[in-house]
Amino acid sequence: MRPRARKDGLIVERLGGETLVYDLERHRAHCLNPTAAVVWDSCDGRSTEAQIARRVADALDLPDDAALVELALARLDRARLLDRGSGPPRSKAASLSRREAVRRLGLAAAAVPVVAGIVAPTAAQAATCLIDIDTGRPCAASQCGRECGGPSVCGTGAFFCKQIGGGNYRCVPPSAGTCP
Amino acid sequence: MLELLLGAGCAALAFRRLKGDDPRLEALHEAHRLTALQARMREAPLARAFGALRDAGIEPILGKGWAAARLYPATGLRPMGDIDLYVPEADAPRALEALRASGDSPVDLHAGFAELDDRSAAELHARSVRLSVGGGTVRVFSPEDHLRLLCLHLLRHGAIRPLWLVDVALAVETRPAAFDWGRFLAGDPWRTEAARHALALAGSLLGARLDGVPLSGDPPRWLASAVRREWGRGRPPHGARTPIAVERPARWPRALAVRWPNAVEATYAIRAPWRRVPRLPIQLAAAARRAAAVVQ
Repeated sequence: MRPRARKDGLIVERLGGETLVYDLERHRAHCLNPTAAVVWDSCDGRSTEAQIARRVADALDLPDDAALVELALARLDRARLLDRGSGPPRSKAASLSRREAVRRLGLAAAAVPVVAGIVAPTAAQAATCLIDIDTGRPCAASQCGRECGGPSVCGTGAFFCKQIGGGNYRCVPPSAGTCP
Repeated sequence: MLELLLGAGCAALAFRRLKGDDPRLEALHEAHRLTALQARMREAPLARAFGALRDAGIEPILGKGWAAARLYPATGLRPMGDIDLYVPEADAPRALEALRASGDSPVDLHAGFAELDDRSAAELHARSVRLSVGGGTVRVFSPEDHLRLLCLHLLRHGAIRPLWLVDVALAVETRPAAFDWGRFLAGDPWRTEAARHALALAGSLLGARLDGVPLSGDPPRWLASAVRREWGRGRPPHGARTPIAVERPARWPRALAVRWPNAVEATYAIRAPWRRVPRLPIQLAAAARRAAAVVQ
């Protein structure tokens, strides 16, 4: 098996020792700890698991352990961060808890590969996207007349997303006005 | 406290300052991660919006959010919502068309230059600065114009978000050596006085270094306490700008409470004197004006 990291439809940002990945297709954000990030960076479609394990060992001063790479690949694959078909066959490794992984691999907890979902705190969203008060959240004037909603649609004058049923919103002008 | 920090948009800044393994900091850490990703995710829409407007023969200027975030010492410290683009009022309809045609972009298009409309569009453009972003270029206001915009925007919206004052403090502290205070102070004298008070506020509430800043004496005594009170309330940002659900009278009291202007926004809204006059009549006048606008 020569796993290949997915490149398309992802936005990647390095922050401290972590690698943050936003999946533009599935609208999910992930945070990779250094172990998972080194494995992911090493998935070039040419390297074998054994070669990746050596790279991880060199980069992070960890034991050269194929089981650690297997666990990382399983987790990366579950998060859809590997090209389809290039990841490992499904295994239960992906769902091991950190404690189980520590016990099985004999590693410090910090060395266990982690691919965690990033959850938006409600109030943090409010910090960037304005929050509902009465009838809906604000939207951009350029969206007037069209459906809106979701975290990227926020923050302008008096135009706002009005609920039109079925959980859908439409961007409408303020108080019975018309779209520009 | 955590809720206040998150709501104020200062979670990433707080995490940078506190750092550590305390599980109570995890929400701040998560906000920091999200903010960093958000900043990266804004680059493509930003380039797309500039491209669409340039194709239409319009050169917009970027202000506030992204333009302010680039002044922070590291990525991911300042959350940003929409992309604030400013175009001359006459170009706004064409700009809107161009943005619509280019697909969904989280752009807040400003027709005219809002708090900077006491300067000509030509002047603002001539002084603006081009920057590289994700392989393209964007145009931002000059440091002098941008600092004035940040100061006035802060006051116009009642200084309700601490983050906006942090923007002011950073813009002052990171100003280039050639910063021209004459340019910053030029224009409508009432706004200039307001902008000076905003600078003083950044000094008194955030400890911003104000060496060489031409302040106009101490800020009015009521100003800092009004801002502190506002921050403690944790009011939703822009509550006043959200339309009232007229058809739901049961919600009117809450809606009105949300819209009651604080002393800062009331003073700005009716261009009241910053000193000497008590604030309550000014707030009443501003509230009356706001109510009249809703009725219309």
